[in-house]
Amino acid sequence: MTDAELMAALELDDSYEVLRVLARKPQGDTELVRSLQGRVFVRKRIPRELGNRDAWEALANLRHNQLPRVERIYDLPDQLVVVCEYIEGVSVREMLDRGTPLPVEDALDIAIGLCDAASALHGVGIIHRDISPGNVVIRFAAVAGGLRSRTCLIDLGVARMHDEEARRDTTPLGTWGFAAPEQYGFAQSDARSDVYAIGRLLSCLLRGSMPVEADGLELPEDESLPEPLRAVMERACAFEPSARYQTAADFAASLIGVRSGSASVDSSHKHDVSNDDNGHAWTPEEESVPAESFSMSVADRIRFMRRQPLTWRKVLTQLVLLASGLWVAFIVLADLITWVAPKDNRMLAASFSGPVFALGALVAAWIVLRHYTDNIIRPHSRPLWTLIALLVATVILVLLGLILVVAVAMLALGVQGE
Amino acid sequence: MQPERLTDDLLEQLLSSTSPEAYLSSVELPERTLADYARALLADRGMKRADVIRASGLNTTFAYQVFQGVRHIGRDNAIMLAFGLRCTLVEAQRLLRLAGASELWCKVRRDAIIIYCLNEGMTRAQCDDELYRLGEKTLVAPEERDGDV
Repeated sequence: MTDAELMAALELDDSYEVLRVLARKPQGDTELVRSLQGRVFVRKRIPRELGNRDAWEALANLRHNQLPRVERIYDLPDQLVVVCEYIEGVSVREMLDRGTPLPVEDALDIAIGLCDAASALHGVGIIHRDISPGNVVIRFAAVAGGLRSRTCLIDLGVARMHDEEARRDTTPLGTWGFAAPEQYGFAQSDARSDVYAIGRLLSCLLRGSMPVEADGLELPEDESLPEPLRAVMERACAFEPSARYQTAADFAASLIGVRSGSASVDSSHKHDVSNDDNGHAWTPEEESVPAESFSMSVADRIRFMRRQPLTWRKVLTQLVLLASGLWVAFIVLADLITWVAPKDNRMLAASFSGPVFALGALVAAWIVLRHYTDNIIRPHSRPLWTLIALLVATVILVLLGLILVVAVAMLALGVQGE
Repeated sequence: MQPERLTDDLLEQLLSSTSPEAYLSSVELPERTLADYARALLADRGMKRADVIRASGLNTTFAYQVFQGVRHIGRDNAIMLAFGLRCTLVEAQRLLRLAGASELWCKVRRDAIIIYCLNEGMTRAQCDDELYRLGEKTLVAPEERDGDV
């Protein structure tokens, strides 16, 4: 960025008067601002590494009455700044704070509205990734005979463009309880991640409270939920993206079907050829993304299924246990070599213990460091920790390498001596 | 911006207090950074950062980072920022303290010229002219001063 460009950006940045800071988050600050013409906007300051200009530019070209209109996008050295329409209304978060479950009809209206907004985004390749109660606003307008409401999807702060080549998202982002499993970094998020979030949000509306569990389907306790709706929600909140509705439009169509009392939901659609809500025959080949693309390892799956965020203490305990276990295993292996060797060669066999022991330590160190990187470094993306991890890794590996060399040298000398 | 109590007043109050607690409970000691103070001055004068950068002669990216609070600022740069923000002498001394630099001291020849310029409401460029005329090191290096007005 040249000095002239920065000066122009600063002139523009300072031309808005900050009325109120709405939120300060690691994903960026949100401000309510007023332009020189007196119009009120929302300004998002997104850290450079999280800002996705392509997604915002795609949104700027999109005109949809359930999405905020982008007024301006500009760059500062460390931020992407987006000025967009201020949508005034009641957030779903405020509705949930009242603790009263919404009638099924109203909850369905909101979910269908959200599906429409998400569909429009997906149509231009944008994945919202953070559909949560705080980011859904119900806007009311007076019409003849009463009030008309419209569900609006706001805050595209962590939105990204879908990338056919990417295997997973660069940074795990989203809101706990609404982020789909793949958003934890196991696979790339796509339209189905937003479908999952809408399904979760719908269950919150029906229960009148925020989520208790990180994932899965949470239903109202009174079990008054119509069975077709339960099936639709189960499919939307499926763990596997391939088992969910493949598009927000499909999900909306099923919800409309439930509302009109004519839903036919096939929750085992993965294996059967069935008809969708438009009477169109569904075949597995029509899946927008094949099931194989969701490549979550068994370890990742177990970690996610625990539904508990990893803490420093847990990771450290795991590291110590893992390292100790491996070390002990290799000591036993080294002793076993000595024990099983013929009596005449027992001294020679004993000298193998050193290299085996050192090799064990190297393997243990490697596993420990990998675990550390996967659970601490990658999720938090802290450059300082990465540097410390690299330094520690280098020191440990150099030391263990030296031990291995010395042990091999001693072994060679021992063999020579005999 | 709320008018601030002077350090001398506070010192007088502290010395006349019966205990540190008595003093600490009777005064409000704001915890703020240089960036906070610079932004407060900016808002007080209704200025824009671009205006301050132009008037101070500071490098654009450097000044932006100072306002963002991510960059430490040296003494001469803090003085240039004070000129850019049209600071009074008292405000300039506060800015220097927050920058962790020594305050302007009238027993030092160069500082005395700068104090005079600040007090007279001169611009940074005018202050540099005075420093140059009186044989002192200018705030902006002479080879960088071609664009000065």
